[in-house]
Amino acid sequence: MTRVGYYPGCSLEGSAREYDESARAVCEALGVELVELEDWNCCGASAIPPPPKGKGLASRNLEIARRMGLEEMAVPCSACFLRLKEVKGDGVQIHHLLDFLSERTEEIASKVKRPLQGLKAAAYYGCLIVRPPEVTGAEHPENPQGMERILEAIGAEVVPWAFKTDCCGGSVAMGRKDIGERLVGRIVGMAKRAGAEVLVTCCPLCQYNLEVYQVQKEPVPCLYFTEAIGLAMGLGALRWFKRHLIDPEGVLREKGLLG
Amino acid sequence: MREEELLREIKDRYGVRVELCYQCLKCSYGCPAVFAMDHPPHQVVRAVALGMGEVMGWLSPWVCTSCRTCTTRCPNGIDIARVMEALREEAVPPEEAKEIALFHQAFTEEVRKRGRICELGLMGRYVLRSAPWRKGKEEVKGLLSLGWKMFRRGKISVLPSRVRRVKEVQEVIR
Repeated sequence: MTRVGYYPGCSLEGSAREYDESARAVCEALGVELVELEDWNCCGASAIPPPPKGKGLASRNLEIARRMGLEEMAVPCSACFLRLKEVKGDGVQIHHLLDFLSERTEEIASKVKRPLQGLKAAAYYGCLIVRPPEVTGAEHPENPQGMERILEAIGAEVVPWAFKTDCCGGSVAMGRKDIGERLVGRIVGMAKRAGAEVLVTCCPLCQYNLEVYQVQKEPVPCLYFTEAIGLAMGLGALRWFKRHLIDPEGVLREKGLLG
Repeated sequence: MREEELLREIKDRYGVRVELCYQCLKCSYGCPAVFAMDHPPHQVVRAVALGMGEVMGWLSPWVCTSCRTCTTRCPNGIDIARVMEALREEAVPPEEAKEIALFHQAFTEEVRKRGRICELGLMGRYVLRSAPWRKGKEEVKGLLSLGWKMFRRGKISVLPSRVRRVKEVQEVIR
């Protein structure tokens, strides 16, 4: 059994609970033991940047990880991921959960019970999992491929499109709805034009913005990549989909992927 | 002038080498939020390099979504997103960005209190500050309906967790 540290971050206890639930279920099915960081604190996200010098919010989390003897840590939220990566000269290796799992596509493929055949999916990465590449270590910051590898391994049809690393508006959308709606509208519009029936995400804030600021008729449902994997592995994904603000059940049923 | 002093401080403290900019405009062409800005990113960078104090009153840093596209593409390796972040830390937000700043404040207060974000607490603090009822009934209705939808789907934790040693967290927030 692989043992890896797990820093869920605040959203995964609330608005992104289905991301947490599906991440844990998928990792368990893959024989990966997620060890939750003890007494972890908020990473600061975009509201509390690290100070120019000295200790910031992310440093405390890394100190705890070191104390727990964790060599590696998987992080599902892209903002948390970047803030942890920004801390320099630390012994703990930080991976985004997507990168961690995209290194295990063969194991994922071997556990697929019901391939997501015929489901046209657009892989949406957003910003902070890839940018800035000096910090994230992303090999192809303008055209990442990890999520596509996973989606292909679980049998989905990946649509090529140009907006996979465009910004959803982040926390600015909270105070300026108009900015959120415009950015989300463009992303969803491009995904539709590429023929996507679902958008697949890897960040709780992207998912929230895509669901809340999508004001078009016939909205495109959004799934966390871990939910897509769990669905293909037959891990009882329906309970996660019940939590969505844009219901993905319709399109999934139409494709014969549910029930 | 006070703004100019602040600007010099920011330059010294954050150590971003804005003077390397040769105005290729890559940052501004790639910026997703440029449509909402009063000055595109390349002008912000130049203004900081020239020590123009008025940049402290510009809208641009506040509507910057921190997506780091500018930082990633800058041929001179200038961390433009960091410049925006630094300006937000010190500047007073203009009217069009008031709510963005209030959200940041609510966020910081919530982390100081619990060490983590409880989204219900965060939204409560934000709503009390931004007073959406002043914008009319529709705004309030929208918020309530979203809140109710999220609650029914189990997306709102009513018994939020908190950091046990919250003092350690408070020490690192200025």
